[in-house]
Amino acid sequence: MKRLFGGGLLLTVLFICLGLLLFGGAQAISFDTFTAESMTNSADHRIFWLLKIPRLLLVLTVGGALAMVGGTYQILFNNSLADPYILGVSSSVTLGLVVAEIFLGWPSNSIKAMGIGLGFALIVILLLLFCFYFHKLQNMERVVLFGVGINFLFSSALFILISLQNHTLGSGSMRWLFGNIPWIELKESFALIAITAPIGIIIVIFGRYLDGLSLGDTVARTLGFNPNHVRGFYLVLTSLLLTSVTCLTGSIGFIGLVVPHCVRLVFAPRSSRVLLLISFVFGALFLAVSDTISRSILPPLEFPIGMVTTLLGGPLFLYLLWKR
Amino acid sequence: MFLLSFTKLLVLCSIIIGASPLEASQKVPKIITTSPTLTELIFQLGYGKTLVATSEFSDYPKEAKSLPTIGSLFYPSLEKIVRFSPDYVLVDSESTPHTLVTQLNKVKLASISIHLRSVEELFTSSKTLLQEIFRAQHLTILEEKTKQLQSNTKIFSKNFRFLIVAWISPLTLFGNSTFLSDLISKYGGQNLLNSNLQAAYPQVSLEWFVKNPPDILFLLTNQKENLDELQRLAQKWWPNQKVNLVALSPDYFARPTFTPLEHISAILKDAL
Repeated sequence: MKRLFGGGLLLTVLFICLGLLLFGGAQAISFDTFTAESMTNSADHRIFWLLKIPRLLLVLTVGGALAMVGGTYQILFNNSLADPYILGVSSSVTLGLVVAEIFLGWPSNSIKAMGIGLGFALIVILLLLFCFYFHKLQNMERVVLFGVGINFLFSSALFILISLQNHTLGSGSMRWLFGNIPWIELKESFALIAITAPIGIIIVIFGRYLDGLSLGDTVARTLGFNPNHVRGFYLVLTSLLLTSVTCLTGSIGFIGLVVPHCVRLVFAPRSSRVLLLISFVFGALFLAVSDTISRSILPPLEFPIGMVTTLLGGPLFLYLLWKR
Repeated sequence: MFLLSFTKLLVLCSIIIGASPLEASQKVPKIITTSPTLTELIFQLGYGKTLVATSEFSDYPKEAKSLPTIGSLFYPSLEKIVRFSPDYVLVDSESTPHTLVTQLNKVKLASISIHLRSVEELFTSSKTLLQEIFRAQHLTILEEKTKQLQSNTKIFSKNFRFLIVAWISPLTLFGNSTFLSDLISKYGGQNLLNSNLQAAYPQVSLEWFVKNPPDILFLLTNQKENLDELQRLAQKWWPNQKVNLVALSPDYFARPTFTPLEHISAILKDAL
């Protein structure tokens, strides 16, 4: 009961923050924006519909997806330090986008550049699956180590590319390293939701297989499924989900690692499905609040979102750890 | 024999005179620059031939391309610098790591830090270089540039508000403490970013940007797609306001040298 009350209270606070996000932020807007007829063409009206709403949808989707992937990896690898970026998929996307920007001159927010990012990610996913099925990588520890290796390799390549650029004015490519919430239109927000929502739903629907995996391979087999097939299936799904959000925002740290742990500490969910669902909700709200704060600390400045998520989440996580 | 020696002497004199405005009796200093900006500036002051090495991407003027390099802007190689035994290393205080100056002191190499965050700093730094390193007797070149700037700015009496976009995503602007912003201010422009903001290239929120439309929005780009994209966005964000969108080519405006001074008035004449 106490846990439920605590969780409810936390959720209420986060929803209040969400309201503040819509009407506060770097430029606060009043409710009159929606009532007065003369306001329908005002700057506030445009800020609300052109900037705030698409951005909110984007951060909710990205935050939720990252927390969900983090939660899934922690179960899949049986490793509490697993985060969404552990397999190197996101660094491959980042490398693809930077390659497209530097060598092809395509802006990294263009569909063409995202296609290159997706291509790089697919290569890594296929490599991962190939090694997983044919080269004795079925030990999950090895999969993680393989991912760490890929991560180092691609990150180094990324740094080399960035340092080889003409630094007359610095480089916009650096944003991929720290995460960035770009401006997107409403239709693009819906397109992202249309891509990520089915993947998220499938991950949750088949969540019972994750429960089986968490009890060990022998138990999983007695429950009637092949644990390696489930792992392969989840590796593909989570990689696709991660690729679709990283293409837009780069690597936003901390959410995928810490939100599932916080959910475990506060709610102690009994199944993977519940864990992933609550992680999605809290990851989404956590990123939305972090985004609002990043733009409200010292307007008109906007701080890198990854920095805010870490600053906010770190103390919260340590507090929860201390209390439990 | 005498004729041959006289010819040699003539050739030698012509080399010295042609090489730089240094006095023939004066020892030619060996200079290394740590940024493309400083390389360009040294050439503009007429002492390009004193450069023995420079940083990567020093591509202007053409002669700079053939110079040996000492590494990139952020990672200059101390070993390479020492190998050239320069008399002076000109350090770009904006971009070169601060540790380089300490390292240069340790290896007993003279260095001069150059700040180029405003038009005034460009002139004072140039004067320092001319007087302290090149021992120039006359500052004719600077006097000419000052006159040129004064006559150019006089034509513009209209005040206007402006913003300069460095990158669209994330939205990064030129702050007040940048050379380009200062230069445009000389022509009657007012950068809409708060002048108390110390950051040179702050990342700003899009909401603030939309709420504060400038009269002229500059974008530092060579790519037409970027300008088209910003044009499209500007029409959405400010449908009822006239925001003049102007592209600034990085070839002319990215480096705080005398080059932007030569091109800005033509750009502003068109824009206003």
